[in-house]
Amino acid sequence: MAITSSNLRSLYYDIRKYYGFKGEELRGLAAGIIVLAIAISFNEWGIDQFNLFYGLRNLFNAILIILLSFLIHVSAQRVMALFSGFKVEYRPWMYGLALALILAIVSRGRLWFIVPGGVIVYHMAGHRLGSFRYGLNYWPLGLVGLAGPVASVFLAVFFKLLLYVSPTNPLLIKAMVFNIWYAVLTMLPIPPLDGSHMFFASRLSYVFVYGFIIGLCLSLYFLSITLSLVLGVVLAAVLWLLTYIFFEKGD
Amino acid sequence: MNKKGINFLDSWAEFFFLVMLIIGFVVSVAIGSAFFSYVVIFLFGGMAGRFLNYRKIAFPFYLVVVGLLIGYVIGSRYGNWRVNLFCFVAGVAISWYLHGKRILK
Repeated sequence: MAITSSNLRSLYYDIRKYYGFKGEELRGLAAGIIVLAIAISFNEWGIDQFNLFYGLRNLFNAILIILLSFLIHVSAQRVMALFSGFKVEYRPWMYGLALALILAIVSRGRLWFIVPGGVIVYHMAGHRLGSFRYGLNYWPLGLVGLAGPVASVFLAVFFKLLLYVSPTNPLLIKAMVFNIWYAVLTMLPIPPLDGSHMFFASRLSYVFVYGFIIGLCLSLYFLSITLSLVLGVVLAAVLWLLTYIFFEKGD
Repeated sequence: MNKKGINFLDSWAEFFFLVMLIIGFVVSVAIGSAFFSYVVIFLFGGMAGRFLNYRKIAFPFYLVVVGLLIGYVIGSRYGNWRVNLFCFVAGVAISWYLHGKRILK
């Protein structure tokens, strides 16, 4: 759908009318936030010995980081869906949340498995009138799914920019790392997760985008934003070409 | 479909039994305290309860879940195996009940 002033006005109206979360979604988001906050602050309950106040402060910081990250991630998907004439509903992934806790315990908090859930997309009949493919189809679904990880990448880049101002701030480092892993792991092609929508829409596009996200995110740890962007594009192009040669060319 | 595919269709339950047994063993060995061992087996029980609730009565799925439990109990270095077993059964029962009542979806 083209971005015109009338489309943007329509989007503004849709956001005001349909953006709200249902009670069930809010409970799912709250469960995800609490479980992941425990998982990512698991090894921060004291330096030499257990310290309740130190741990609670870190847990609170983790909750704030995850709340902001979830809000940006899910909002991007909602806005993208409304722009395309769909409505999304957030669904937590119970296996993913349980695995996040188990891996945090097993690895003593060193391994973050951030796969809280995905979205279910609903068709809004009146809003799709006049669209080229009227019903639900793979490509817009893929774009809706992709909007979340892309938003998380932008947030990670934003935190990296803030780190230039305050390079040793542990909260900013944690927020950047969280968003990096959130973007990378939710792009996995496992059905409830966001990556599965793009994977089913187009394997080549999936490989390109995932290659870009992996290249950008993992190099954000060590390199500047510009170099990370270049590395992301290079990795995306290489993976796209390899996939095309070895898997897609014969189809 | 080639012969390997046919064999896998016949014996997938045994294959996943072995896989889950190894996963349970590795996870259990990696845990360093009795308390966390009980927490993890309770979480595994919760996952198993959800998994079995969706599949109801089908023996191969129970076999896979039992594989996980056996692997976990064998690898458990801390805590009592009876308490591990109790935590697992409690996790399954609570999860089954919550999913049955549609409190968890």
